[in-house]
Amino acid sequence: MTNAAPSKQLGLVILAAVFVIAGSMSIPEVRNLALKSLQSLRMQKVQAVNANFSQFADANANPTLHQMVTQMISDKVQVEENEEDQPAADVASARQLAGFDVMLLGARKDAPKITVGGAHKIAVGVDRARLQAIATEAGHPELALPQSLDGATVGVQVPRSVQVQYGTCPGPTDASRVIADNITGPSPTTTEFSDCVRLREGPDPDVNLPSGLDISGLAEIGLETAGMTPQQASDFLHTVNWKATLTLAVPRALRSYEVVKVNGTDATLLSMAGRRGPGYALIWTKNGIDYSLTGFGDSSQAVTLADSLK
Amino acid sequence: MGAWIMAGITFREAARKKVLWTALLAGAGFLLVFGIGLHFQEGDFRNSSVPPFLRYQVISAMLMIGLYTVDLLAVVMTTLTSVDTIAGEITSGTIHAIATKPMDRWQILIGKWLGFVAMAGVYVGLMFGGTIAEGYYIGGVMAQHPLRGGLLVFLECVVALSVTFMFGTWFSTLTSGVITLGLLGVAFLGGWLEQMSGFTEGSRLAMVGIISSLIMPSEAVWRRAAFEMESPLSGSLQFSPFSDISIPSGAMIGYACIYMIIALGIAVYHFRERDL
Repeated sequence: MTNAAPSKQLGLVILAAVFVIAGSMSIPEVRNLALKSLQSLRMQKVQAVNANFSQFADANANPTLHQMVTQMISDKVQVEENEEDQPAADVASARQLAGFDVMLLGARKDAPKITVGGAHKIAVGVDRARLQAIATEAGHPELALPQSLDGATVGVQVPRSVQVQYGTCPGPTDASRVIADNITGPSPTTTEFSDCVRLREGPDPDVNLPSGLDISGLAEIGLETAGMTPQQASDFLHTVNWKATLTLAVPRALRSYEVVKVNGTDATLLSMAGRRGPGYALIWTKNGIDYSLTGFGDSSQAVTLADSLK
Repeated sequence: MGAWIMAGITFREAARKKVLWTALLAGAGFLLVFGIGLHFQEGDFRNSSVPPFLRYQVISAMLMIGLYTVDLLAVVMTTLTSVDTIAGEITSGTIHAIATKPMDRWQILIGKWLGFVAMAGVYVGLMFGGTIAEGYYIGGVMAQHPLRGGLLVFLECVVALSVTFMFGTWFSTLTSGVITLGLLGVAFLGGWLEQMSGFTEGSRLAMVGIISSLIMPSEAVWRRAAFEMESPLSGSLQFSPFSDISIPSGAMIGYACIYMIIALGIAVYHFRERDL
């Protein structure tokens, strides 16, 4: 009897405490404070907005090269500008919004869906120790990054772009969604989207680098991470302006690449070997505008389609 | 002084009862299997055209899995070896032989606790050091901050030990063991759910993980250790299951320390007050 009384008291105290806590949670200020306290138990990544540069990323896409490179540089990403994408009714309104001469594929007679991609500006604080570790892991221990690099800022400014979509294409998604879909959802097959073609066009991103930072080297690591061999990654970056690749979803399961001509300009045609996702990507730059043409069908159509640009 | 004597007795008794030796034997078995696995993986890589840094990431991921196994082994070993010390001695009446000595009860409990802390330290030091040495000499990879990681795993063991002692002053050996392992299970599940929240960036799922880490902070301490030790490329590009999705902050580690002190304080208080 004497032992039962303190236990009963303790039970009542616990019950009362549960009621008090549950009741106080109905007060918004208390709830917010509790939420903030709980969040303080985890490290806050300084990434205010997720700048998604690949609105038309397919359900099997890798993250963009820009995302991979910035993740390598630091967790401290400040998004300074992150415009929303806007649909455009026709090519004239797309030109007006984007501020450059927008082209369409003359070889496609079906009506395209045109979207003007918003401008994005980010600043990334360099974590030198992290970069040095990555260089060592990548097989370049001799690469000594200067101390002055620590805390320096890398600025990336992506101007407005235009994304033109023809045919039936998989819906927009993000990297997290891709993994979730791969686990739970039905897998889109290549034939399902065989008439899907996507054209992205836009000026080169403006990249401000501190001296001593070889960002193209990081882009090469990003490409190798996505499945390219070191030789493929190196060749790819020699044929394509690395700044142009920053806004591209990193191609994976690369089967082959070749240098081709598009309207007299050198272009790189990547053929992908994946069961799902696009079959090819054609990348070139002309008059200061970067173009990438991605299709789910046969890669032999790519150059003909690109030549029909007008 | 009494507490230190008790700590020495506990340590020697564990060695005499072969608890320490069997735990170390199991650990040696783990190190053997891990070393053989690393050796074969390294050999296979030498005969393949995998880029060096991808090879590094794979071996790094293997090292992290090895360290996670050490972490789980250490926490479970700490719980299993210590669960009988208070509860068992109260049930069997052995505690009367000790408690009648000119020694305060808190000294008995703290002494035993210190003895097990020392054992956990030896175990973590040997196993952790062995795994990292194998990773370095066989696989050619090194954890980023092994000392910080090792200390955090040690902290995790001490948290589990304190909780086991706390329940040991209340319940029987079996009940204490079931409750402590149950709490470790909650923490384990919560930690993985939180990690899975990265797939969908689901804040509610992450919150489930945070709340479960308040109930038992062991897995959160490991997640922080993994963050400290993991290769930055692997962590940031989410190669491994321990990538940087939801990283426990310094405040969480502080919470784990306070949690441990409170659990130990309750154990001391209750052991002093209760009927033996």
